[in-house]
Amino acid sequence: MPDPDSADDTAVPPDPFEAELVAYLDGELGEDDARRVEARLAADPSARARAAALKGTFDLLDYLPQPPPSPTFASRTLDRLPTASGGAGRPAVAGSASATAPLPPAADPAPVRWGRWAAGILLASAASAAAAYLAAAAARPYLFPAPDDLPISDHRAVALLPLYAPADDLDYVRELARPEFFGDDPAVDFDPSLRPPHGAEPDAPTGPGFDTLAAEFKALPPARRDAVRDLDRQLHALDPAARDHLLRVLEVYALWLDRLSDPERRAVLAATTPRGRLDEVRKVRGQQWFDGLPEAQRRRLNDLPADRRDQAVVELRQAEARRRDDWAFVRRHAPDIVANRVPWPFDDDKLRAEVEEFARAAFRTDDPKKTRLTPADFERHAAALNQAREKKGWAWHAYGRVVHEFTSPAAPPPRRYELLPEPVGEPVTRPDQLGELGKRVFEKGAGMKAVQDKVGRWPDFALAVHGYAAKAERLGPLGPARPVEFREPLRAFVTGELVPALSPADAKALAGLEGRWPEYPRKVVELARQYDLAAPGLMPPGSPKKWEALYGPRGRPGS
Amino acid sequence: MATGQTSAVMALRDPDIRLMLRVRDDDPAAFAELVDRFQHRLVAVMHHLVGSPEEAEDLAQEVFLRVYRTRKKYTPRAKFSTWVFTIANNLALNALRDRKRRPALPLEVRDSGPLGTRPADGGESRDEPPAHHLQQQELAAVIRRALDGLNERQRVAIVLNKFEDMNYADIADVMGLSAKAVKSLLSRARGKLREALQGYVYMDAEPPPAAEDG
Repeated sequence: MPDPDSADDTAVPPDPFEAELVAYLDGELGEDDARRVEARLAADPSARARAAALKGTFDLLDYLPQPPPSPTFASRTLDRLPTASGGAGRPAVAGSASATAPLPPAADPAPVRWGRWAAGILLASAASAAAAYLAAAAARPYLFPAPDDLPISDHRAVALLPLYAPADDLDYVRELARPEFFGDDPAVDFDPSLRPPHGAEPDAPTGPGFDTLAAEFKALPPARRDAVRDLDRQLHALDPAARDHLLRVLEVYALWLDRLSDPERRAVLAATTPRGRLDEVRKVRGQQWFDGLPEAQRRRLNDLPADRRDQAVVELRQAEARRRDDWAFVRRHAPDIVANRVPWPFDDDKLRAEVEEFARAAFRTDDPKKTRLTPADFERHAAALNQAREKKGWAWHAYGRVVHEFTSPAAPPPRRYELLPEPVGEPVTRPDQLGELGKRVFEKGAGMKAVQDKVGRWPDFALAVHGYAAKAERLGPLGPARPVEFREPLRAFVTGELVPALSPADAKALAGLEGRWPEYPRKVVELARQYDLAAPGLMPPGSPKKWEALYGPRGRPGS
Repeated sequence: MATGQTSAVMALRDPDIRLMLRVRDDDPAAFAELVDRFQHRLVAVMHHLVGSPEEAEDLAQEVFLRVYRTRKKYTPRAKFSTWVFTIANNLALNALRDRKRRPALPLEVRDSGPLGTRPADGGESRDEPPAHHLQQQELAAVIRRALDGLNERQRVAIVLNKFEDMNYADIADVMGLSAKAVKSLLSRARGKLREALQGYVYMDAEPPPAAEDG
């Protein structure tokens, strides 16, 4: 109940005698003051009645129940110590740790619909505030004693029940982890090597909280209980980073659900299929995003015709995602940026020279006439390289980004320059190399027009011819499509490094494409990337995964 | 960190300080002993402040964890229990204020459907004439409501005064107030309790039960 005088309840009280009386009863008055109070009590029956009422009402507080800590309180507290990584550093508990906690009666044993119990567990977990950083807590062992009849194998699932309750299965969780749902949430998408934003230890569900969850778990329909167990098992079979990522997704999802209005939450939880549930989640997320826009922008979108509005929304969200990527990148590399450290691979003189040579040979960056790059990209490359050489340190990162963008399959098409291996002899870069067949195909103006701006450049000309001719007539391979047709060192790389590393299925798939151009060399590049090997001349030197991690757009699915 | 002369003297007087200094120096058994020694008092105080046993344990646990986390910075200045209850006071006030900002959803919410509203917190208002056959449990509920009718600071002061038997100076230390302010605070709180409960003072001839082992 709000207290009207709460703002100044330490100021002089309205009745100074009552304050004296209370202090007297509490034994807090000095001798003189105490005498004064006693004199008034002796003379004034109403003062005596008031003193008796003050004392009597204060004594009534003894009727308040004072339950002792649950028997597992001490052990659970010690288990939460930061040093208790696995229990080795956990001090011995004095006294009462061995007893088991009494199990409170289950709140609602009646069978309930999916939505009902999921919401109940969510609300219960919100009330106990145990949801915060459960995800990280999942990695810790739960050492506290069990409620009597809960199998030890169910403990982890019970402890994480607030996260599992609103999820269908692992596939559903993976869907939730996509950027369009919760994958982009800062709480999901942070660098786990950094300290958690709370800066605090994770909260594990504690004694009575755990017991409540255990009761909730037991009250679930058996099939649902099994589904929760399955989800828990599958999640914990993943590698720790993937598992923690998905647990963070579940945590964010649970908190998000908890904050929805009742009708919205009901709509999500009452959906009968995972697909339907995802649709509801998407709908609510979309509306929340829209409601969060500045009012002017909302008005502008609302004024557009429906189809233009949808397009504008897509563009806005893409721009948002790009900004988020940029910030995420800066956050991840802040220490290196601040210290102005030279990033990999440029911190190694040999590798740096190799990367520069790779770019020069692949894109002819040394010759504006012969270069494959557009004039703008040619300038961009030159400027980045000059700046890196001049400023050194982190400036090399901008150069790495340019090189990566030119070669990354994830880069958007106009930026990307596909690299295909050159033949041992002269590559096909002019119409007169195509022979009689080629002359016939390209004697018409339309054919020539389609390829003429690529003349003189490998593999752009050959790819353009291939693309055009594929519609009319086959010209046969326009470039090397077997290892023996490759130049060194690519030939040695394919036969000596790549093929031995491949799984039988991948090796078969590659062999099946021999003789087909450009499919075969494209498959070589794809597999090399997949097996984290750098195909000489086709990819920048150094691990492709490292390139992607340091210079890529963070491997956003769908980008 | 060297233990200065003053703190050494205090440590001799207060065995809890001695214990805490062992915790500070990472003596593995000391923290367990500390938990064992203070758990009843902390859980009880928290229970009286927040009313729910689960939340009380959560908060008490958090107090212990904060003690542990800040152990390296511990310098014996005041009575050890005053230090611990200062941490407890901060946590409890935060929890109570959070709850005021966003009322906690009671677990029983499922009884009226997961998304339904809780049935009105029924029962008699505190102005109702006391029934003569109120069971102890019901009386406890009435007293609980009276305690909940105090504002957070008044409640903390009353609980420390009543259940920790703290004098005004120690309460002032814990709450960061002057002793005079504590006097005013307690006077208002006691006045409110008197208003709310005086009808119940003589209804039960039996003496209150002894508090459980604490």
